[in-house]
Amino acid sequence: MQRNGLLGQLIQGLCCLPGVGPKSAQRMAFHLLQRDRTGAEQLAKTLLQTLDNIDYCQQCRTLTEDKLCSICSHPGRDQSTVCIVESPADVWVVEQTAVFNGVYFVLHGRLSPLDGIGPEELGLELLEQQLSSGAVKEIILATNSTVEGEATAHFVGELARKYQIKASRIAHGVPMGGELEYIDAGTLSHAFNGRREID
Amino acid sequence: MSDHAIYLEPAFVLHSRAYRESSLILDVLTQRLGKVSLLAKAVKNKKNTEISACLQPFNPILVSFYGNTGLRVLSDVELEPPKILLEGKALYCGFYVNELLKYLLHTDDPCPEIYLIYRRFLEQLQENFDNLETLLRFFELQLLEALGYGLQLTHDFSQDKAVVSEKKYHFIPDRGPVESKQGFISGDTLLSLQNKVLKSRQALFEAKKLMRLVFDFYLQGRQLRSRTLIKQLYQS
Repeated sequence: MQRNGLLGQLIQGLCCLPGVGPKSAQRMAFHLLQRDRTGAEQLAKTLLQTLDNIDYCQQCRTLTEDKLCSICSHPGRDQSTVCIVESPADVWVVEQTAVFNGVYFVLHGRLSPLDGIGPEELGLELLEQQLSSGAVKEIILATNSTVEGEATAHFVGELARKYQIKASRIAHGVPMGGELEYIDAGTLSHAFNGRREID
Repeated sequence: MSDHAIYLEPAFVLHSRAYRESSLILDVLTQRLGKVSLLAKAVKNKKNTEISACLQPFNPILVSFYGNTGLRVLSDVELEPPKILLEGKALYCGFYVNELLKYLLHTDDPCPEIYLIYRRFLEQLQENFDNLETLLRFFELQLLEALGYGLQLTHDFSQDKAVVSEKKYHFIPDRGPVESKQGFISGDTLLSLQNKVLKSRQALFEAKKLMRLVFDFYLQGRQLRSRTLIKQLYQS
């Protein structure tokens, strides 16, 4: 198979997508060129447009085409409660649960000294500005349940304490429909440590 | 493959980085083989959350892997209870120690002592929130000894005299203390480090300075990010 020329470039380009290897990229390229040229044109235009227009929200750093994202600019959202997440994908997941009516702050990563990621890379200065302004009353730390996620939560928690803001960490433990027999020891020990009283 | 297979080796993950979409490359401290690099295939898949939970740093685990040297392939992992849970400041100390080990240990250089020292240190770390600094200093001393860089703390080599607790000293990392009026460390601190008792704040402060000097020397100019992070966290 000839890999140079425009077709080769397209296949190579599609390989940058997650989960797409050379074989799938090849199928996609042929599909777009042989069967769905209008779809391909649309895709190309949209890609260019999104690249030009989508940037970080000035308040929460999620991806948006406006200065403020639809959540931050929504009048019905509670601006005094901020949920801290690691990535824009996490915002979508939490939004789907429809249990949270505040606003978000996206870190785009987590503290990991061994990878050279510190507070500067996570935009914590912007978060500190928001906390110091006095508008925030509570933060919810919804970073991942990994060692780095915990370290990040602790760091942000300390920031909140500095400004006397209530900070809480999301619970972790037994999943819905989970049977104890099949749950790993780590999760179960977390569930026991985080148990709560029945009222 | 079976010639070079290792089964259920006690270990700790020091650091992991993403490789491709769902795999990880791990730096693992094993008991018998020292630090090894392992490729953990497809552990970030939804089906394998249990495995990726085991592969978090600070968990005592038993790893099975195969391969000769260089990058080996992880075949199985299980938790070795009791689990070690680090929180808050202790977690950051853990990162610091992991960073030290990552840079100071050579790959495939067996050193069973270091595994044992590290394990004991983590166990103490989760219980003693107030003594973090003392624990760290003694861990660092033991680590240097196990690496073959043990500190000579009791003898002023320039004058060929024993260290006296009332005097001040400078320290040369690969040689030892030298008496000096502007020295940053007192003889008293040097002797108490030797006897593994650090009590006063002044002694702790001096010991920290000493360790920083020694580790900066052996890290050959490499900056430790976790050190900067701890500073940022507790200065603000």
